[in-house]
Amino acid sequence: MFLVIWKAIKGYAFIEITGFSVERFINLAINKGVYIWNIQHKRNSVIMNVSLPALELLDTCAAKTRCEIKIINEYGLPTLFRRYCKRKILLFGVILFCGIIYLLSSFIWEIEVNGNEKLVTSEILEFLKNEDTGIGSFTFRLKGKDIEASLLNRFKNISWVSTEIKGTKLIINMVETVDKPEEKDTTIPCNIIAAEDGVIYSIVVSAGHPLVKKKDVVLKDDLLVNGELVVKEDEESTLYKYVHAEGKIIAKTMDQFEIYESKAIIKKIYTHEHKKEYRLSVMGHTLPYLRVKPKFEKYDQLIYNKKLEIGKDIILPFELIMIQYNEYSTKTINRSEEEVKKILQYRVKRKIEEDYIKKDKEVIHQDITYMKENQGIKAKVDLVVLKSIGESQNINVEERRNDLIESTDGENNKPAN
Amino acid sequence: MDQKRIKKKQEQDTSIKNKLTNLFELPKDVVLNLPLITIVGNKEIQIENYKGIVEYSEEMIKVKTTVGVIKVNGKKLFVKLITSENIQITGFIKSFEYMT
Repeated sequence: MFLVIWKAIKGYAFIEITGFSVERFINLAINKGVYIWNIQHKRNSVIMNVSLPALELLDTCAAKTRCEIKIINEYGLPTLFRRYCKRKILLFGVILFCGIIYLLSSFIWEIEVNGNEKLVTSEILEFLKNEDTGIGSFTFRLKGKDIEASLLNRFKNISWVSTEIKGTKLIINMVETVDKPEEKDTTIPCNIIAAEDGVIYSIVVSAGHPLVKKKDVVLKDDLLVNGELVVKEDEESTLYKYVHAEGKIIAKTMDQFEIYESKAIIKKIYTHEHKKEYRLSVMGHTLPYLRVKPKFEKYDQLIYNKKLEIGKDIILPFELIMIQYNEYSTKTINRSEEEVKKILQYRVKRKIEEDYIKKDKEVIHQDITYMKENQGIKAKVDLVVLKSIGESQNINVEERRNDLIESTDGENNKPAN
Repeated sequence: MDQKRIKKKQEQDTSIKNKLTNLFELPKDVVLNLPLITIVGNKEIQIENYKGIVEYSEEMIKVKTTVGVIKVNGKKLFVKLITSENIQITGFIKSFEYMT
């Protein structure tokens, strides 16, 4: 195998030797170190293969032994090269082709962003584009460190970023910072009020004065924990202290939602008729290639994209797009009540999971009532939910003080009047 | 006279070499420069340590070696490879003969 490749690279000739002492010729040639193979006898001549660089040596051998050499054919890379060098336009084309491939492969055609969970990839790409380092920029001009620095400058929640240029692909790996927990300013005095109606289930207060207790019924905007504390009270004056009320108040609340599901559904039935359309896209601009307008009334489109690339890393700015149109016909199907109820149950379960359980709310009771409506069934769900209902409300200390002073003044003034 | 003496000396030399190689069981093809001949079925014959081709045709090939001329008879004989140390003949081999 390797011998064949070596022969092809070095080049070899197929020669015919005529003369009286061919044996002597062969001996002489071999003594001079010529590599000969496939010697065949033909009537008055001998045919053999020799390597191309040895042909000159063979000439002297032939002169000594009075043999004649006739070259029948030449093979291998040097011959091929010599033959095609004469064809100037072909040579030009080959060089042009290589040049274009080289030119196209020295641009960035794809950017891969890894590790972004909160940042949106398109935002990063947009930023890179504005910085002249986006898709279509020259590979040699790109400097990984500059990109990294600009990304770190622009996006504050990137803690580490590395760039890598692989062929025509720019790979950005990053690690995002963990979000800082929201710091509550505990110096601002506030009260806790109820965000919803409910019955208090549990109340734990770490700062402030609780105004409700377990099993109390509260309405929306009721004061639950007071941030205004009485420190000292005597006949003349009352001293107040304002704190940041804190606590966890869980209440039983009622919730309700409705889901409607119609009995009839439209089902697609594929007719197995399909048509294909091919398009070529150059740098994002699509060229219509073979237009096949489907004569189907209703159809689905399946789009396959294939990027043209050399190897794994060099991606060219061409994209082959294949669009397949699948025809279908629609059919309405009427489902039975049982089926619809099952589907409704499933949807209710999903909704509870998403809206309540994932948000740290506990459903302690649920009641589903089904009602026929139009062509379907409506499920009405009543829930009893345990959830935190506390909501902080800032106290305007100045105003409060003024109020207090006014009220005390009023009291003091009353007997005077 | 001189030539005879040289020949005698050479014979003595070879005999000493021969004895030594026999004594130490050395490979003879290497030490005594004898041809090493490999025959594969009746299709291929390979001669190493040869000196040159004497005669060449489709039916018969004569190869000169240190132990004399080797004659290969056959049909459609064909030298597949030839280098300064090695000759490989393929074809339909009928006989193989030492001509001393």
